Amino acid sequence: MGVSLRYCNSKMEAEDVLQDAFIKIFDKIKTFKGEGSFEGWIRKVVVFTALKSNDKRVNKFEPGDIANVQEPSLDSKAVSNMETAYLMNILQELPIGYKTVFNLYAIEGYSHKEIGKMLGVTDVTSRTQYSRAKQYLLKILAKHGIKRI
Amino acid sequence: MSNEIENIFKQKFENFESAPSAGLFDKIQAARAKKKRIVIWMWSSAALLLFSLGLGYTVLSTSSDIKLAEDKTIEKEQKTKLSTSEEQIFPAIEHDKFLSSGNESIDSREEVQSSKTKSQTTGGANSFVAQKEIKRTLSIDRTVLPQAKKRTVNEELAKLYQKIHNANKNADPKKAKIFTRNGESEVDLSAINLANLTKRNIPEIKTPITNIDSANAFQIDRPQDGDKADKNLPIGKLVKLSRWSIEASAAGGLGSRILSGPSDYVAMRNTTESVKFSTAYNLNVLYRINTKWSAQTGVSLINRRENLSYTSADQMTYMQREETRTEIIIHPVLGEIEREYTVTVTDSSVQKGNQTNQTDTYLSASIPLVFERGLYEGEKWSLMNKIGILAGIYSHANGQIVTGERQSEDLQAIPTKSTGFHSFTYGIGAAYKCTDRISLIVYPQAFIGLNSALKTSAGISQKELGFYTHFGLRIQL
Repeated sequence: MGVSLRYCNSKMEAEDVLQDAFIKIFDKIKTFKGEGSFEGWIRKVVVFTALKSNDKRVNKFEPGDIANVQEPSLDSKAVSNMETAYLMNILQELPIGYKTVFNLYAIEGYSHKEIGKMLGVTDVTSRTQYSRAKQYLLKILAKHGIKRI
Repeated sequence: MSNEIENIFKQKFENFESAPSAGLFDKIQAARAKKKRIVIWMWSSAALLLFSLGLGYTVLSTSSDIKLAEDKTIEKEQKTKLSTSEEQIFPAIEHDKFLSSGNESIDSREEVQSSKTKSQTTGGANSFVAQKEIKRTLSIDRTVLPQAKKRTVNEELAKLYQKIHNANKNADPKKAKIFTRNGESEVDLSAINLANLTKRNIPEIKTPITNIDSANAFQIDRPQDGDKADKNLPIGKLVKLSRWSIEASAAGGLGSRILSGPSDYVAMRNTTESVKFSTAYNLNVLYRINTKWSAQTGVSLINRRENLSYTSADQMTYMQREETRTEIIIHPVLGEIEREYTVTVTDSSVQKGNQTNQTDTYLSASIPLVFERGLYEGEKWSLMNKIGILAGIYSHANGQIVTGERQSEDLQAIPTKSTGFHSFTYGIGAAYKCTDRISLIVYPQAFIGLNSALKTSAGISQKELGFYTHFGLRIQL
């Protein structure tokens, strides 16, 4: 549920994604060959289901110029002290495209090349979206009282 | 610093969990069950479709299979004859001797029998070679085609014989013609060593042996045009029967109806109406789909009759009249005085109800859509059954009906459907073949109404029933 919540705008959407994901999991459980952890496999199915559910919106990426994007910085201590549930609310304020790329890169640990393949965009687009996502996140954090340093 | 935000979020969210709603897993189970049901339906539909296609293919291909089976049966019969005969068998030739019966130049020991034997060498599975067999008698009629006594509807076979006959007219006696379904080809008989042939030794046409001088053995005079031999051709006995037939029949039986509506009304009618001998008539065209199945349609008339028997309710009648009466009164002064006065009197009388017996008729015309399947077919007798639906196109009711007050009412006042009443029918019958084309049929048939014969405004439902035995003729065109 935690995974699907990160990719969706609301709890309701996240539950729909989780429902679809678990139907897939039950149907395809025989195809799990035991390579890697079972938890990881389930997580992957949830992520892919969430991506599919957001497909249309996510595909509206526009390639951007990395050079023009400045690296953000923030008061990391203040962020660390924040409740995860509160951070989740902040994360959910991100536009869907930014949120997806941020989740995939920063939290799931996929490379931009892999993300590009997943979302049907170039790795450059993924990289750009990620940078913008971080900037956007800083703005939201600032709105919540976290200052840049 | 740039990775700091990533690390924080990763650390925070990596093992973050949030409890879903309590009913989520119920939803998942319900969704899975629904999906399963859809899958089951899809597979069932696919299986049904496949079954229907298979059944359709089987039904449609039955006729051609049976044709082949008939051919093979003939072939088998001929082979049996060949194997039991002690005479020598000669290779097939296309020769007029096959047809000539009265020619004096023919060796009296010879008789030519046409037989169809599968060619093992040249024609493949569908090739047949006309062969002749020498016997001690001269009679051709009985032996040329023993199977011709049987009625055949195999037009293909008839055409083949006609083709052989036509080709025989100008055939080269030294050549044998091989007829196949795909065409015909010629074999040079001079290339075959007839001396080595025995009844089981079918000639190897592929590897001919030369230096033969036996072709003269087949030098037989041809019949002249118009020779009576032509009259002995088996093709005259191969009746070309169309797939179409006409059937006309009349039936007698009993008809009834099922009523549903207000119970007192239904009870009243059930006690006053009873079944009576009824009649039905069919005029149908039949189309033979294959040797087993045929479809029929046409017009079916059913004249259902019922007896109406009731006693009308007693009737009271009242009549008023004026009556003059006299009375004697005692006057204190005048003494007894007679006085006249007038009163109005009402007379009542009871009129006893009348017993009524009469016949009501329900005439209906329908278009049947019926499929018939043969169950058994013998030389003369055959059994079949049929099943189908009748769509009503006309109806008329005549007679009377008893109302709730035991008074009669005209039956025509009841709103009867003129079209749109349907019946299911099933019958099992027998046919006796008088000639190749004409059969007498006896067909007991049941009818069950699928919907009411009355309009909704009647407020009651009346489904017609009937059981009629049809007697008639079936003529194959």
